Amino acid sequence: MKNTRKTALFAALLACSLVFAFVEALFPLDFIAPGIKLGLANSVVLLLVCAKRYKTAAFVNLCRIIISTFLFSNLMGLIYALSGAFFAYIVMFFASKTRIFGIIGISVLGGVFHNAAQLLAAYIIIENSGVFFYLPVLLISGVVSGALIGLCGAAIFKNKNIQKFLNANT
Amino acid sequence: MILLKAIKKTDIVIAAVIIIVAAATFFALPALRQAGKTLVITQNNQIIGTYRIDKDRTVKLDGNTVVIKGGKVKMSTADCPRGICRHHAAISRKGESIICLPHKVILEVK
Repeated sequence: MKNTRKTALFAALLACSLVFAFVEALFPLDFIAPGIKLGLANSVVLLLVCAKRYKTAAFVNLCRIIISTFLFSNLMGLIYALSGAFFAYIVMFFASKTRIFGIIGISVLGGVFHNAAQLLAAYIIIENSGVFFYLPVLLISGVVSGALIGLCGAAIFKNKNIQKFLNANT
Repeated sequence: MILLKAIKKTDIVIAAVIIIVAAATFFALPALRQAGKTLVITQNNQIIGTYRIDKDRTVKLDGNTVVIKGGKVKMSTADCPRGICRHHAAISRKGESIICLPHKVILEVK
């Protein structure tokens, strides 16, 4: 694939992810527990991972975290968001490589580990073990949001045009 | 219908596993609390007194009586209408608290 096409594709996907992040920021679910999100912006990364475009997925993930944190959140949140997204990506990478999980399973794992890693980062930074009281809620919400996004992703991924667009290597 | 085909067996398994872990964590959490050292009594957002939990004593407030005994704290009497604070289990670990809303009294273990 030509370089210009690669760049354009990457930019389009990144922009898409950021729009999703914006929509998510409109309906904060923070009253349930800190860090609860729908994970809409991760759907782009999820689709790329399922298309086996691992490098693109990693790069989109990294960029969307940095940019969306600057746009919709504050600098302090960057460490939590980065650790969450990093762990989520690693887990999704291996989940996809192993081929035993479907897109929904990968999304669930991504969501759960994103939340768990954020909680762990919070514990390391504020050194108060009280944060772990949020663990059950975050785990459940990771499953729920992961399942929902996974379902959406599955529906989108079935489309042949989307697969071509993503240059899927299935 | 088509979407249901996208759900693999392992997906359901992993979701179930995580939910079970969440439930287990939920029930194991109270055990995590560390033993408390002092009791801070606050009324109307002002600290009335700080007491060590390892010494048995009775603290009398306006409409409430606090009893520290055997390393635990309980609200022994309270003349508030529903007496919820009286029925609260004894507290002894960091972060636990008994609150008497009508009298605005907070017993907190630190």
